Amino acid sequence: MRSAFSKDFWRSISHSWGRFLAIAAIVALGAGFYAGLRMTAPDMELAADAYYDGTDLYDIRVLSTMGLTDDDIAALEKIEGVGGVMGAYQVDAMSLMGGEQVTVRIHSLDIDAARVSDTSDGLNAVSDDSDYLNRPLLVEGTWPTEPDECVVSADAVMATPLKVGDTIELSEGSQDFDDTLVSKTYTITGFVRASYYMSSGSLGTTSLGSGALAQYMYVPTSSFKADQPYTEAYVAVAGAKDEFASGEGYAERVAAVLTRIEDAAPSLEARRLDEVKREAQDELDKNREEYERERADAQTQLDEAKQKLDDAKQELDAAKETLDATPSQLDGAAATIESSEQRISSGQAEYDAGVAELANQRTEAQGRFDAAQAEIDEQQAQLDTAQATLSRLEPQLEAAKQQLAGMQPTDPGYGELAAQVAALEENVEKIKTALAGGIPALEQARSELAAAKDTAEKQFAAAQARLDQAAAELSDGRAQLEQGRAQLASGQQDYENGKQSYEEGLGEYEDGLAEYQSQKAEAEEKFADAEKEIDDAQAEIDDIEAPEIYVMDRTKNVGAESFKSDAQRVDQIAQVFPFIFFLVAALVALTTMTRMVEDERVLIGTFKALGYSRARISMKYLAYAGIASGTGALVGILALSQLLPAVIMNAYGIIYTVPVAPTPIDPVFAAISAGLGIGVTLAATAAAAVATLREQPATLMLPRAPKAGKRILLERIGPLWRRMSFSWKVTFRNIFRYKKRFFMTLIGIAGCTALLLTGLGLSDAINDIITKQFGQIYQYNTTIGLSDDPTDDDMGKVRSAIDDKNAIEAYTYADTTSMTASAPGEKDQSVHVIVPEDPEAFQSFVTMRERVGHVPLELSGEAVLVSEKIATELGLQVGDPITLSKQDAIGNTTDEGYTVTVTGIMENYVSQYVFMTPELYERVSGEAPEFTTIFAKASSDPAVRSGLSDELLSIESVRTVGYNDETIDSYEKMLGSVNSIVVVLVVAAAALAFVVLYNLTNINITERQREIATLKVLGFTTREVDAYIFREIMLLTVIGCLAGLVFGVFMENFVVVTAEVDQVMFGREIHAMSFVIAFLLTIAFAVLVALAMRRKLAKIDMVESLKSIE
Amino acid sequence: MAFVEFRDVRKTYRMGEVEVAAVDGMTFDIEEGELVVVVGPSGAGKTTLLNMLGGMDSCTSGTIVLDGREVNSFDARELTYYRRYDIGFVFQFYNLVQNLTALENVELASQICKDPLDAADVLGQVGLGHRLDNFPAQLSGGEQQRVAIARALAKNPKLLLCDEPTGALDYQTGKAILKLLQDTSRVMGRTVVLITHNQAFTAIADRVIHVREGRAAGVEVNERPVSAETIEW
Repeated sequence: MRSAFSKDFWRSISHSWGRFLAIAAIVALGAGFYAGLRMTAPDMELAADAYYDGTDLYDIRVLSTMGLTDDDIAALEKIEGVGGVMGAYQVDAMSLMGGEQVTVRIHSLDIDAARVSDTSDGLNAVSDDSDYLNRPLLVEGTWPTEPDECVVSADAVMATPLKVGDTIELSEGSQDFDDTLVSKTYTITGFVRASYYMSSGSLGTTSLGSGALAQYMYVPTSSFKADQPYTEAYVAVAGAKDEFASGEGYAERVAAVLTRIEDAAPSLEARRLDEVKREAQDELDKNREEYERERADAQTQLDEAKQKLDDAKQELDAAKETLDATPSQLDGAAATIESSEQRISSGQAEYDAGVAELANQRTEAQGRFDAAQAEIDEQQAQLDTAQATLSRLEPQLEAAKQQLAGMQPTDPGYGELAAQVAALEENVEKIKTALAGGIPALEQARSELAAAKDTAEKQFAAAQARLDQAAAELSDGRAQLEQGRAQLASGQQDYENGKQSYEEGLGEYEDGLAEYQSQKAEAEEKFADAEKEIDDAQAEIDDIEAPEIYVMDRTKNVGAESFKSDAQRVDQIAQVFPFIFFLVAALVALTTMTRMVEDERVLIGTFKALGYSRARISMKYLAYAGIASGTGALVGILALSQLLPAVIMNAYGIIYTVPVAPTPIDPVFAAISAGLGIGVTLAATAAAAVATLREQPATLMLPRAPKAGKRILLERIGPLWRRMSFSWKVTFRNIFRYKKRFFMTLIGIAGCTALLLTGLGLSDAINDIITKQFGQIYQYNTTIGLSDDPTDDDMGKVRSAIDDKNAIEAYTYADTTSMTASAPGEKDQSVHVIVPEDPEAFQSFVTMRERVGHVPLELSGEAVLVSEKIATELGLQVGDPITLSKQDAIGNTTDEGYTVTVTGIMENYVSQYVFMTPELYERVSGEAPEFTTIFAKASSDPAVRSGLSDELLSIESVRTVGYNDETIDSYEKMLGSVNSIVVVLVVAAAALAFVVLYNLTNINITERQREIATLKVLGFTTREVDAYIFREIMLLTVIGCLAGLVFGVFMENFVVVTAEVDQVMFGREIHAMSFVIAFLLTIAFAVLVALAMRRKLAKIDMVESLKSIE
Repeated sequence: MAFVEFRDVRKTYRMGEVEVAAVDGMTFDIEEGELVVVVGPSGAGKTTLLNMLGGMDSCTSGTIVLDGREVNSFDARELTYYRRYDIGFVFQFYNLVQNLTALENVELASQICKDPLDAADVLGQVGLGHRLDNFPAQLSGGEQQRVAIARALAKNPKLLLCDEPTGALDYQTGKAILKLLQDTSRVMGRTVVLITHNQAFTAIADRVIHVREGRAAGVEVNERPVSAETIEW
């Protein structure tokens, strides 16, 4: 039979569920939260480990500045501890995907191995090929088969989602594509998830575009041109899979192999150097031979030419001699001709004179003859006239005679007629006489004339003949002279010709000579150049340094590392956060068990009187507390160790693509958590019981004297006290009378408010990133990235695009570079160094101000402004130095860098920046800034924007066009995931508030049952009785709220600073609204509890409560 | 019509299957201004009677009338006001509010009444005029009980009900309290009902109600009640 004592024990549980559950609940919350939160980070790491193991993520990555050959791969495989080695190619590119310009990293994929791998469970890629590493999981579609097919990330956020079948066009690359890839256009065959890229948001940095990768794709290895070395080798460490990825064992194993690889690296480097040198040397030698050959040829040609020239010279010299002799000859001939000419001239003159003479004579003779003739003719004419007249007159006479004959002398005119006839007859007679005498005279004259003429003729003819002869002689002479002249002329002509030819020939020769000389000189120059080149090349070859091999483990993988650090952040919060619950749990347990002990005071006295030992009696209460807290811890841990990690991993799932979220219960944490929860409760119980148990039984059995009333401090403030209403006086006295309860309520409520404020503040912080960064700090909304050396032509096109006021309201130029910032003693950070072309104008594109007070910061002269997060990470204040160094593609610093002094710390939430003026930049870096980034305020009309993008991207020198909207979207997603955490916090806060308040009120009411009953007896209405009790609660709640708001500010700050991800600063302000909501919500909880407790108050039976102890 | 009338009042409790009748058909009258002592052995139903009369408990059947009003038909609100304005209650264990001074304890009651007496005055009347600002813990048992009485009187009730008022007090103090109650009845003319299991008290009463087994076994009117100082027990 069970002992009566234990019966009493069990009944005490069943008779006071409220008490039991209060303890169980608060311990459940505390232990559950602690366990759940502490298990989250390990769960996250478990998930990562499962994912890495399932997809054979590399353990070590080997890069060489000269690439890796198959020999290198073989050498790596031989190293002890190496499980599998995969050589791979990688290249970054600007691409056009779904109408967007996207920076993408292209990886080679062993498509045969991929096809054979089983990725159906979404977590593991099962394959036997130990050299197939970094296995992507096929999420949708199929693996690529042709060199121009690819698979892309299933999780990267794109403005327009991609589909199977879409094409991707590559435009620019980190290396020349023609040397690297077979195709520039790819077709998407499917979507994958790669553990290599755990973080779907940040895939890594690149030297292209905006500096951040937006996508990754896998193409068949055959897409990469065959003759190039691997860009990298991935190594799996044997046995590493069996270790836990974030554990010591794993790190040790990998470190061992890593060291071995590093040790082997120099020989690999040396071999590669030899190889490369040899290749280069062979090529150089070949070229040298060719050079020698061609040089010989050229020399021969030159010699030939020289010979020809010399021959020509000889000919010319001979010709010169001849020519030199000719002029004197010609002169002689000319003289001869002159004298001949003279003779002929004089001869001609004589002849001419003779001719003239003869002509004169002839003329004279002719004149005489003509005169004679004329006379004769005249005579003749006269005779003829006479004859004619006669002829005329005769008929006339005849006619007249006839007429006369015919007429009678009496006829009128007869007389005239007869006179006429007589005249006529006279005339006729005269004429006839003249004729008779004239004609013979004439004949004589004629014949005389004729004879004279004859003689003259003969004379003349003879003269003429003599003249003719002379003429003939002259003309002969002339002809000869002509001939001679012609000969002279032709002789001269020949001489001239000859001279000209000679001149020409000389000229040609000289030209030829000059050309020869210049060709020779040119040739010599070229020879010299070629030889110099060859010498230089040789020197270069001689100078070739050994390649550097970089050996990296997973800590350099962006996704894996940031996941790890986020898990660590959660852990940091987990180590601090839940203690508020434990504190409250302790207080609740303390008060509850104190109450219980109080209530059972008489019972305890009775037990003692009966002879039960103190230990036995305290066992009852310890067991009670133990069972209550044990149950609570069990339930809480079971529930929250599943719920909390799941919620948090889900929240992180927005940023990380881990396909699994395991929530095993870690026995250690569960034990610690339960231990803490139970331990705290037991300790409180012991504290509550110990004092009572020490008392004497008799004392215990008497009703405890109620705690004496005392004057409180407030009473001494006379004026205030007098004015207070009665009920308020009671309230204040009560509050200060029960100090333990006062503090407990305060802490519980403060905790609740603090939790609420933290949740709301967190939501504000993330919201602020968007509103403040993109609303207030960034006043631009578009960035345009140009290539390093844009052509003038292209710049003109760019300008015409951006000068369009419809598309872009304003723009300015700047130089943006990714650099490494460092400060002594701190970890290096990656920053964007921005040098605006016009610092003053730039202020209207980016607001530069201090966060606290919004004090504006100037960018001029020596100013160096750094964003706040960088300043915090590097521990910088105004006046401290910051060193900026260049980075290579993998983020290693490549030079010493330069140091500048921070002049201002700028409010900024997204990315890390350092701003400086062009003058300062040039002075410290020694280089002029290249303003190849354009910050612009573009129209928000999507049609205008896409038109602008199209126009700009079609220009070759334009690399990227980015709009801030895309970034805002991804942050809003992050905000969505944080909301779920906020909900958890609010629920926890509510639970805390309820448990604390309910418990306290319960105790309060129970303890003052008599008092309350008395009030009822006195005739206080229900409302008055409620008010009597609840006034206290509300006052305590209000005070607790205010304390909680203060505490919450610190708690929120702690959570925000710890949970912040790299590269982002969460807003540091808690909005006024959040304070109001936290306050009101807590009050609301209190009111709810009060309403719930009203029933209890109502149930207090006056009769029962006031029963005397009989 | 009597000032107080109990007509066949019953109060039955049900505990599972068992029915217990605490008051089993009680009938009596009380006149105004009387000092009534209700006596009976423990568990007879005295306290239950007082509770019902004081509006702290309901009866299962029967009628209870005070000054012409049927108390048994009151709802909770009416009962509250009944207790507030018409009844003054004194308990065996005083039931003072520990956190309030003597004066404040009395004010607690007087502040909610329609026509209260002045708290300080009443305390003076019970002989505690110099202890107004002391907390109950600073008062002796008798003083505390006097405060309780003052509290009840300050309400200026029609009926003053006392449940074993001297139970926790010693002989001398108890007598003083009885004297006070008697004076309240005689001098102030108030109707006082007093419960006790001490037969000796019946001497000072104007009316004695014997309660046995839930019934008013006997009601006596005392022609010549004695002064409380004179009784011995």
